[in-house]
Amino acid sequence: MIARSIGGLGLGLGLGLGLVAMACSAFPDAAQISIVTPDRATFPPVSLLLDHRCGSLDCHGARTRNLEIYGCEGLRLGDAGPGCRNASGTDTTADEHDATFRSLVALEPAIMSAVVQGRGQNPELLTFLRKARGTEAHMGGTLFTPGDDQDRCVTAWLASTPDPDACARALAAPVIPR
Amino acid sequence: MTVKRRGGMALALGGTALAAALAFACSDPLHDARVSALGGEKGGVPAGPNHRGGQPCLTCHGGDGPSSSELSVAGTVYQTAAPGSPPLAGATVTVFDATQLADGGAPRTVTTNAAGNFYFTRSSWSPAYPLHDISVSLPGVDAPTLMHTNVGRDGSCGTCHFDPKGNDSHGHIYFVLEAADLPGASP
Repeated sequence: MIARSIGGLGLGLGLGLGLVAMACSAFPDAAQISIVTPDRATFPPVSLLLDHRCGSLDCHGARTRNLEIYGCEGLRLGDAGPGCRNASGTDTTADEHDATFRSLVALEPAIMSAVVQGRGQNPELLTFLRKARGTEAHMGGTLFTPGDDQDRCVTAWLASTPDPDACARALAAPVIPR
Repeated sequence: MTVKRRGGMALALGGTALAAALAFACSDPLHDARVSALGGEKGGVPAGPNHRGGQPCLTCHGGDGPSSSELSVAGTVYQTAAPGSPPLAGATVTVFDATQLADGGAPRTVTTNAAGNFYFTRSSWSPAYPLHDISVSLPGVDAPTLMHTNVGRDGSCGTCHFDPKGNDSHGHIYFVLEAADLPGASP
């Protein structure tokens, strides 16, 4: 009876260890996933808006957030130094736009790809937009109203029809939903 | 008698274990670590409105203790951007919250004390984020110093404004860049 139990235990243990080994070896070191992203070249106006509305150091300008936003109003990269040019600093750099871009598109790669491939249809599938619109719990509250310049700036870029004018208007006079 | 004594001992042990478990359950080690990191009182200034200039006030005054006086927005203003600058007393700090537009809204104002500290108590104001168009001004000086960035969630100015300046800090809050720019400074 005892021998049978020990035998069963050994078999179970062996199977378990085998499964763990398989799980750990299933993904090669060089494994990558593909993301269909919106255009990087047209991202800077979007990035500047995100920096202003979402990227303060107490919010997404912190390295502890899943969405990290870099820019002169918040978290800096490299030797850019704190502050924008109008505060004796330097404006957001290309490297900072790159870092924000990578963080944003890699948040939900499959959904990002689907939204971009669908020419921006149903952008609310992306969690970051639902949070900005306040339709999902967000510590920073509601920031965008669907259709306003801020929302248009982001959703037009997702649809590969960038609207830098909307971004500029939103940056100049951000609307704060009440 | 022995049975009773054992029962009492078990009860005492159980009570101690329960108290320890409750204490453990109620403790937030991250919050405790943030409080500990602030260290003791600075410069011999006792606890009170003038203490701990430049530190993130809401770490202790945010409602999770250890202070029982709860603040909603608080910070310290210094005269210049230079490290080691003296604090700026008597300055007006103006803060808009999400319910107020910068043009035509009715912002909240507060005056810095002798240590440069300012604060709104939670009972006097519980703002809706983001805070925006925050400025510092001095009586008789035309141009206030304006902060361009919104504050998204943290009422402690010292969370983002600490020295030394770096990639994740804009340095302490200041009124003018250099001492020569202060009102009344000799040219």
